[in-house]
Amino acid sequence: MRTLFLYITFKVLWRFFFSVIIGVRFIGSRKFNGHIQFIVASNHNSHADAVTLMTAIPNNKLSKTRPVAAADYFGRNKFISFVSWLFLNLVLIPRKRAKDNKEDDPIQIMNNVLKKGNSLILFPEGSRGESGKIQPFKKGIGFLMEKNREVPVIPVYMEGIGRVLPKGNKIILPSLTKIYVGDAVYFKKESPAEITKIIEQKVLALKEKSAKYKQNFN
Amino acid sequence: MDKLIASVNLSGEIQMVIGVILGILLLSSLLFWTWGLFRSSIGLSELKTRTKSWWGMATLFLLAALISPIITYIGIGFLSFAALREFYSVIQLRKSDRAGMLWCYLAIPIQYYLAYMGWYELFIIFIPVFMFIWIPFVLVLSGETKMIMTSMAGLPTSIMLCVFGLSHMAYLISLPSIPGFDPGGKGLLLFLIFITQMNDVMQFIWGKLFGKHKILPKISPNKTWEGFLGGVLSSMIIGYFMKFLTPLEDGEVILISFLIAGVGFIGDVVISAIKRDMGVKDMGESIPGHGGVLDRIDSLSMTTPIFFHLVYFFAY
Repeated sequence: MRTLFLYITFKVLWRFFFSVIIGVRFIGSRKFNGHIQFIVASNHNSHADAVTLMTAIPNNKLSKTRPVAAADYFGRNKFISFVSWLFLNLVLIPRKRAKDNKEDDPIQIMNNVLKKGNSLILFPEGSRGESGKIQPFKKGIGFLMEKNREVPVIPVYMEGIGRVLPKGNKIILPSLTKIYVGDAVYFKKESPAEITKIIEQKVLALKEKSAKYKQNFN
Repeated sequence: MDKLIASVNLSGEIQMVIGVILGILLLSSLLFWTWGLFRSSIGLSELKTRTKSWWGMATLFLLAALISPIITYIGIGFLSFAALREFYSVIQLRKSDRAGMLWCYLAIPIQYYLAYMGWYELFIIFIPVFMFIWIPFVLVLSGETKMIMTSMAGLPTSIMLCVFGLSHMAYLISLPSIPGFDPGGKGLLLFLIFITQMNDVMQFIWGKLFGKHKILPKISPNKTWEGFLGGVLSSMIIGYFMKFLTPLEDGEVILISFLIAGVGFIGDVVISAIKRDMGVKDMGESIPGHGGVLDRIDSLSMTTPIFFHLVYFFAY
């Protein structure tokens, strides 16, 4: 039931909206297929990011894929947090790590979700940045991967989605957007800091690929 | 099914032109295919991609233009929308222009609804008068004056190019029928698009075969005098033989074809100049081999209003 509901929301409504109205194109969305579980790590420009990525997740993984979002915004009251669960399947985490309180630890929350067999959509930049600029990745994803080495990370670079709904703006406008999906990365012995660095490099490499793609047209 | 076909109801003239279009496509596909058997080159593969895209565009257009008028209005409206979206994705605007851009998008359904209603007086002034006043005011309301002049010029131009011009195609369908002229608005629409696109193709072919003297080397290095003149001449000849799609006299149809060819060239180089300024080769990548929607309809955005008003002047 939940799967069917999410299928209609993402694969019919949101997908029509993003591909036909907004003009979103995925390059390499097949790379989401064939994994039991995965973590999508993407750059973050707008509130539309998580929804857009959900439209490309394989059907059978839809109900088990959960975008990670900040609790102070999407959980500011019960209604909003219910709606964001119902329509977006969000996992809410606090922005700051509370070291003394284990239950509120964002890494612990994400870890629990992963251990239940779910996949995650993560934005390691932490907060939305300017379109075309990638902020340094936060180390949280490294700590999370250290505990879940069997789960692959799929790097994603979204180009142009910052123009759809920029930070500090309420108007959603169509804008041609391209989303590059990279190859899955597995981690074996790397330290959390190294893992974070590698993921950041993978996303930056996709950004470079998008720039090259443009140059070829010149 | 019978009912649907009966409701399509195409005049003999239109059926013939559909045959001609499919014939041209079939012939060129066959030509490039046999050519490819003997020798393969990179230029040929691009021609093949382009022909393939022509098949897709022709099918889509014929379906949208001929099945039912409602689909035609919506289809051309979506074309405007896709062109405008491409335009805004390429040109650089300020964050404070977003409200203005939203109004420009909203102008599309209004303009096409006016075309659908057939309210000519409002249709013809809605964008050049009302939006021309409203858009700069919305920009002023944003409170940011740095570079506002560029936006005040760019946004109205964007809807003139992508919405106002193209919406005349939709109004062709709304024109009252003339007794004794069977093809009607559909015929005129078919004539306009056929001549405009054939002119593009002919300028390309003549330019490839005989092109030597460049017209505007800084803007469009592939445009030559030989290509342009060959294209204009071919368009006039093709236009003369397609006269049966219009309610016009011989001289009028030749003049209109001549103007379509000339104005098509203007539309082409104007969009080219914008692309040069923004440092991109194509406006988009939605049509393989051609670029974006706006790369394909650059000439159409200017030939449409010219064609419409000449026909309106001569025949209505």
